[in-house]
Parts: sequence; structure tokens; C-alpha cells
Amino acid sequence: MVKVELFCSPVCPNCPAARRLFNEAAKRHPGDEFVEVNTYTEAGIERGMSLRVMAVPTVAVDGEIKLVGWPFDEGDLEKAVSEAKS
Amino acid sequence: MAEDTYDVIIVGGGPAGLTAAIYAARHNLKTLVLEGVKVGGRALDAHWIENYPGFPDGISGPDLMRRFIDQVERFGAEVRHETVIGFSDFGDLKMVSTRQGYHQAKAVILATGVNRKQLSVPGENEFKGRGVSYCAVCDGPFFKGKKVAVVGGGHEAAHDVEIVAETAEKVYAIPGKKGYSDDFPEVQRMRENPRIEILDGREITEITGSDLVQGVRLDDDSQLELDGVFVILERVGTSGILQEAGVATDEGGCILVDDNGMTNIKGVYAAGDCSCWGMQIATATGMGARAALAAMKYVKTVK
Repeated sequence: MVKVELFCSPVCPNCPAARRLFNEAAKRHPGDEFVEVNTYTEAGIERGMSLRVMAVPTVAVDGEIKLVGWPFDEGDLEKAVSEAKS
Repeated sequence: MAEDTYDVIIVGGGPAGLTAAIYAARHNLKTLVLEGVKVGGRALDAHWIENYPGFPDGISGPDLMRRFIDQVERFGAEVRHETVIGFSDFGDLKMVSTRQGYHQAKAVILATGVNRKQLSVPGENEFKGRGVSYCAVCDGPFFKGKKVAVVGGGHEAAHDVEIVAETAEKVYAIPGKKGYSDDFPEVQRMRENPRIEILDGREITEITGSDLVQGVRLDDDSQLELDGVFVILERVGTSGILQEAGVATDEGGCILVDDNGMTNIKGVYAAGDCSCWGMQIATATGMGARAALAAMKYVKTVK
């Protein structure tokens, strides 16, 4: 099982599209943990800074940053998750 | 002409370019679309589109563009992920160079879109997402207690200086040679804010760091130690290569076209945001169709 985190913010114009892809990926990988981290909260910022996240949207898998910024597509996200599981 | 000559090459795979491809390929023109970044263009950034006809409940940008791409593929246009690096007009033949080689066609449709202007200094691309940001309101919270620069002389940049200064320890405001307009109400507040320092007349020449941004070098050869650089510059056309090839533009880089979408070069058309009209998906598709229809007529005249 891998932990996939999406760092996003309510004020980021590209984050809703990233969230849509993220949620679809979560359905494809029911055995894995998909967590959305709101970077407009203190806890979210702390978590992001602990991984050295500096931009949203960012996807991290098992604590390792895989995708930074937008756009990325379903294939990019699938590759990031699959590589971590292999 | 060479066997691999296309009837039409379309530079850019956003709504305008893909629509032009649908029209051209459906009329059996040998059509090539060149897109160096993501096929779908800036429309991919749109979370939810509510004003594109035919989708009364709205549709996401990626979903809409997926449909465009499916339609392009259905009619047999060729789509290549290649970045255009040059363009030459040889009369009846146009040549488009990419990092992978070159392609030739009887007509070319430019649909290169617009992009947020980059600083275009060493280190900018290297540190994207690792200290270089283009959205202060999005990424500003990651720079709490840190030192950053906000580059740009427009109103959006001035506004973002104040946004970032709410949490950052120190903000260097770098408006560029022209400085901020005196009309901006933010400027006086910036001058009174001890966290903000305006570096009038200075420009960044390099962004430096190792894994993350660590500083910048300025045009007077001084250096600033920084954790982040927010690049907030105005939007411009992404058509520098085309300008060099003689495609006429206005002062802002917008490609000039006539009523048929043709540029000042015969057989070369432009459509969509790169001609700075409408900036909407619906207008881009209309212009893409118009350019393709005009190109079809033109191609018939080329031997």
C-alpha cells in the first residue's frame, strides 16, 4: 500500500482539476491511501514544508514529491503511483 | 514536392489548433499538428467551463480537450509532440523546424496561444516549483518566515507583493526598469511596510541555488539571498520565433491577421489566443475553423 498526497489550496485555480484526477486515481487504487492536504491550514503547510513542497498542486507518493505544478494528466499520475507500488 | 509534404501544418494543440486540424483533416488535407507541451493547451487549466456551447451543465477543461483530441484522431490528423524552434517561408513551401527535425507544408496555421511571460534568466526553469513560483496567492504560504522576491511591474505584481509580505520575513519588490505606476495604491503602502524593500530600476539576471532556490543575482552584479522568487509578469504571445521569421505582430506580440485569418505571409494563418482576440475557447475554435477553411482554399492554388 502506498500513501498518495495531493497538496492543494482553495485559492489555486489549477487545483480543482488536479483534485478531479486525484479522486479518479483513488478509485482505481482502492487499496492505497489517498489524502488531500489543504495548504491553507497550518497543518497542511507544515506537512508540505516537511516534504519541501513549494508549489500547488503537488503530488507526493510515500513522502516523495512526484508531480509539481499543473498541468499533469491521468497518465502522469498513474505512472507516479504505479512506480511507487512496483 | 517531397512525398512527405503536408498540406497543412498546425503549430499548437490548443482549442484553435485542434479545431483547425478537425476541419483540415475532415477535408482530406494531409494535416500535422505540432505541440511541444500538452495537447489541449491552456484549456487544460480550466476547472469547469460553463460557457462553451453544447454543454449546458458545464464540462472540465481536460474533458473537453479529450473530446477535441478524439475528434482530431477520428479524422486522421497526425499529432506530434514536438517543440517548434524555427519557421521559414519559401513561397509555396513553408518549413517548420522542431527539436526532432523539420517538416514542410503548403500552408501553416499558427495557434501558439499565449503564456505567462517568463523571466527568461538562467535558473528559472531549473527551480520551477522549487522556489520559483508564478502564483503568489497559491504558493505564498510555503514561504512563511522566509525571504522572497516578487518580480513584475504590473498591478497584479504590486498586489502580490503585499500578499506575500503578510507571511514572509522579507519581500524584495523588483518591478523592473520602468518601475511601478504611481497610480497603484499598493506602492505607498509598500514603501511604509518594513518587511518590503522596493528595488527600483533593478532586474534579476540569474536565479541561483542547489536543490532549491538560494538567491538571485541582479544586473548591478549584487546578490540577494532568497528562498523564493515569484514571477508575476504580463501575458504575451509565445511567438518570438515567428516574429523572427517575419510574421507581423503588434507591439504586444499578438499576430496580426486579416479577415480570413491570414498573416502578412501568404499561406500562413493564425488563430486563437496568439492573435489576442477573445481569449475564450469558443472564439479560439471559431478562429481555428476560419483559418482552416481559408487554408483549404489556399492549398488548392499551390502546385
